[in-house]
Amino acid sequence: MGRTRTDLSPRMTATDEELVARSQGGDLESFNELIVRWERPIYALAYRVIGREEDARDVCQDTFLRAYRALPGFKGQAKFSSWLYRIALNLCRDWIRRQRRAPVSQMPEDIDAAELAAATEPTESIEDLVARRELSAIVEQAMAGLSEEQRTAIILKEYHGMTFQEIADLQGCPLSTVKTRLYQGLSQLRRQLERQGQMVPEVVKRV
Amino acid sequence: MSDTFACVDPGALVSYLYDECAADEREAIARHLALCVACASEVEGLRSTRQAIATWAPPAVDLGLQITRKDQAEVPTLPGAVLAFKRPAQEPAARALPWWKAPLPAWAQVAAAVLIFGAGLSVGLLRPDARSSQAPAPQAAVQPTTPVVAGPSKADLVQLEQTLRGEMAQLARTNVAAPAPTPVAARSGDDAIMQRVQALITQSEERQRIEFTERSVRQASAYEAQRRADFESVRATFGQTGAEVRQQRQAIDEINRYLVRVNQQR
Repeated sequence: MGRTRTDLSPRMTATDEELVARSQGGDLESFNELIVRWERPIYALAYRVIGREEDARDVCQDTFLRAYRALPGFKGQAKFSSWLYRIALNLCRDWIRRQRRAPVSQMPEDIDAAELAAATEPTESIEDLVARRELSAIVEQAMAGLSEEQRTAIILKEYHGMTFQEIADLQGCPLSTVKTRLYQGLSQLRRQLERQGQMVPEVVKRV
Repeated sequence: MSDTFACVDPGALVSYLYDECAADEREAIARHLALCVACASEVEGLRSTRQAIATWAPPAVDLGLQITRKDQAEVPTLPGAVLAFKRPAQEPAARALPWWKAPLPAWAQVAAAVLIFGAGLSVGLLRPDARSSQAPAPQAAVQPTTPVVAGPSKADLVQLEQTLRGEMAQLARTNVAAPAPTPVAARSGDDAIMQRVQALITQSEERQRIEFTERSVRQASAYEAQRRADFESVRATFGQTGAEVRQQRQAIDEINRYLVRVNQQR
């Protein structure tokens, strides 16, 4: 499927809603532009919710396939991205039920020197990078210990910048419940990180 | 929300934490936090937690999803339309590698091959038993018609040197004219040497990688141990300070009680 710069430019500047309208009119490339925009956030959401790289890919792929098939029925009652997130979250929930287990935290294998070097920021030393990766792995494990609702609320808030109301709509619960889930989830993560020695308890900081 | 902000209201703290509250509510909470150490500590702890969880990044993947029509699909398994992963632009093996993992340029591979070949030849010549039994295989390959009985003569070595120099010059010319990634691959005579060199390089890379990884992990462990020791030290200091304060308070209480008793006796 050949793409040229000239036929991409108008699509790249179009809004999601415009691309949706064109896709509904049969313009496949417009839908592919929507995929380009949203595949990484949807993959990141799926990975963080279910914790498996390959399965997250499948969920991401399924999300766009379902969205494409359901596109004729999409009336714009919600933002396209919210609609996409809803599909993805439903698929994640299905996956978790199918697996009948908590999300698995994929611990990184042995630290690969090549990967480390490639991932180093220009101002970041290898030691900093190792520490950051270690913390990232600990956070991933701690997140896997939360309930599905708490984890999803935190993921949508922290990594996708949603408002309390957007999360409430996606999770189908009152706004106050979202706040409670965030508070309890963050508190549990905090305790877990303090136990792992990743955070100094506030009582010690005040000394 | 008014000035009568209730202490330990998780919903309000979360709203404040994410800055998702009305201005007057925010001000009321801020005023409360300035006075209430417990709530301030709670918000600070949650803020630190947010900073920590920001480090969690999903693995980088090349998704390249693309909807294609059924008749254009590379993987025609689904009716109507097919969602297929685009093939990455580069095969994984061809990705940009760090300098110590990148393949050597052709001239360097040839130079390494010649070096190893020369070293092997020298060892072979210096060993007394090598002179009588068998000649080095590459020598035979270069000069198959030369009878080999008591090792190569000086003339053989000069000829070998010329041959190698000629091959190197030819390879260098080939490399300049068309910088193919592996120009030596076409030369079947050098294949065995090249494979050996490649194997040595691979082993060396692997060893370096393992050593580097071990060093990184050791440093990380040492850093973690030091951090924990510092943490324990701070905690111990805190505990000690608390005990001293308690002792001093008891002593003051004793003095107070004594003064009260003295006053009462008067």
